[in-house]
Amino acid sequence: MNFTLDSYVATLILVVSLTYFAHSVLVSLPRDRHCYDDSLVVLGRLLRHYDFQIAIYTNNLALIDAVVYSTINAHHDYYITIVDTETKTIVSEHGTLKLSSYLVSVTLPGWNGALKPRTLCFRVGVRG
Amino acid sequence: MSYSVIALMISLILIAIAVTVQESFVERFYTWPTEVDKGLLDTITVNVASYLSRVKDLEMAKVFLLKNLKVTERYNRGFRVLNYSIINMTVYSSQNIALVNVTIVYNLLWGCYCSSALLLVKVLNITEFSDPLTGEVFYKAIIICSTDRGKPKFVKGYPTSVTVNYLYNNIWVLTYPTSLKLAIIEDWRGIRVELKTESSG
Repeated sequence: MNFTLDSYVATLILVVSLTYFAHSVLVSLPRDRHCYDDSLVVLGRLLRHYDFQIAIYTNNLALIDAVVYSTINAHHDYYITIVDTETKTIVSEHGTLKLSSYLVSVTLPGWNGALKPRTLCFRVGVRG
Repeated sequence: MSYSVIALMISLILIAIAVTVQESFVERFYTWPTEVDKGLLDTITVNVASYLSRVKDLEMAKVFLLKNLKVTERYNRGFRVLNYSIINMTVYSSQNIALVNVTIVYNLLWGCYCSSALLLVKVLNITEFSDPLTGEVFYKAIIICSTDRGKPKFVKGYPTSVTVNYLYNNIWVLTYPTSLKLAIIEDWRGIRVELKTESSG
């Protein structure tokens, strides 16, 4: 058996490609990847400051603007639609219309000692 | 054909298969984040505290809590509370101190979360003064207003003759006419406490 430079190079190529192949197959074995929707994470963080709920229930769009922009990245924009869950009517829409598709939604049960569900449809995205 | 060329061709085929496997076999699942659960639970706890501060009935507040959870679970597909235990549900008012405290531990799919809503008002000092224009006599009380989130963002008084002004740190000045029997103080979340006055006996 002749061990030439050519056979060494061929072995190296095969080892690298087989390693990559094995790694790819093993990574894909679980067959699913769990990930979070950024808009839903931002919405969750906003809910932990009660100003956001106050702004939603008083329909104060200036306050919504202030609260959202204090949380998101300066280069990002947002879109929000507030829906009266019981009557299924839109209370208000606000933000950049470009982001009005693929909205995530969260329903608040009520505020200020009252049971008054409001659904928030929300999306955060890059400006422009 | 040299060995290297054969190896290169085999490796290209392997890479092509690997990329295909990676792209076609992976399914992406969007998970309901814990941040939303915490936000919703904080909202529910504050809503219950606000309700309790108005009705002052523990049983009614418990029913209200259950309704809040049912509504939230009905409309949010990823939200699910397995069970919960009420650690504290207190509403108390006297001449010197008034508080509303609701603390609930929720057991969710990802673990336990303790949510609390508190408004505490404590009177430090009361002095009397009269308005030189109208001759009406008022009490000026120096009070501490504290919440589970530290200093309240703002508080307001009820009825309109009750005024609350910020002094420093957690210290506020409460002014009300001597004829008043009950001064109501409400924080920015809608949680109310009632302070009994000197004239209430």
